[in-house]
Amino acid sequence: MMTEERRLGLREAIKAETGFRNLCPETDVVEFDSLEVMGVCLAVEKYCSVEISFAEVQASETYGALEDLVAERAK
Amino acid sequence: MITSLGVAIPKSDASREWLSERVNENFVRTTGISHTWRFPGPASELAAHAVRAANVENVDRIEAVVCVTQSPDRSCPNMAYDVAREFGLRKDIPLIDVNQACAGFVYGLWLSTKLRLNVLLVVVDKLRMELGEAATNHFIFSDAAAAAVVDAHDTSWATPAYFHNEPEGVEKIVVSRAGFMRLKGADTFDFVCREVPRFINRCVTEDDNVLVQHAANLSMMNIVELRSGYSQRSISAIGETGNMSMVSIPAAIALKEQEALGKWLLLVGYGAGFSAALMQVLWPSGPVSRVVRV
Repeated sequence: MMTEERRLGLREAIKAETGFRNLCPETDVVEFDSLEVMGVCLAVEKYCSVEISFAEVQASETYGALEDLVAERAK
Repeated sequence: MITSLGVAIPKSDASREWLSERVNENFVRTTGISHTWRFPGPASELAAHAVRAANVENVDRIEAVVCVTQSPDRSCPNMAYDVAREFGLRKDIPLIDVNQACAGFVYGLWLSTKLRLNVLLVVVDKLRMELGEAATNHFIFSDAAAAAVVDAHDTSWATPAYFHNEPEGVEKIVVSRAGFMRLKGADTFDFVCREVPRFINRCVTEDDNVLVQHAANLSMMNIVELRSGYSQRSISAIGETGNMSMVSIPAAIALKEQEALGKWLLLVGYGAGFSAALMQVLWPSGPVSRVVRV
């Protein structure tokens, strides 16, 4: 699990790179288009120094799942 | 040593016609591409503009022509013959075409150093015009050409080149003979972000050089820089050029030459194949580049 500070930091980093246009906080559903997926990969690399692939971001059905993947990879 | 470099960039801004719906804030932020350029004439004409920009002082000193292109005007004879005829080059020199994609400039430089001659290296691509509207990814490309005079009698200004190929990527970026492009963007993104930094880190140990990589899109370039340790040492002009395929690297150098003078440049091209190629060259301490808009 990520700390709340880390979680917010990652969210801000993703927002900066993608605009966070399709994140719906209420339902936790992510619908990143292909441009946004690239932005997510860059944000995760910049903020967490974690390698995450285009395919992995696309496969994340919820934002929580994406965070969990990043947290797991960062261990 | 590269003694002169000419780059020809079309004046016609294709983004106004083709990108109006796609060029939005998100597109520009992610790809870094705000303009793309289209040349309406044949590739050989675009190449000739670049050669003229290179201001070849004595054509009789050219001992070989290496022309790298994916979009020749025809299959036979090869484009190097057009260059030789246009500029009245000697009749006793080899005229070589190389079919390579975004790693093409590095391939051409490497081949020039192997020839150990005074080489006129020409790279030209007209993917934008060749692909046409039917290709879904055509809109990210720009037409462009570059010509470099490469004195390779002495090669102390260049390191050996390194190559990386993943043949399972053969079907990922394809331009058919009919001019249709199939580009698996997600797979390409993952190949570049995963393998190119490893390739750089495996082959390069120096830390006093500057990265000039193929300008595919800004997010990809930033990830490559971060993962290979070059985020503070790179030259890029993608905002001005768009994706010029193999011309991206010489175009960035020419447009930002002040940042390159007297430095070892780590040139990294990558793309179709999947392929990657890198080589380091010592850039001259004084300006040798000229950019023309045609």
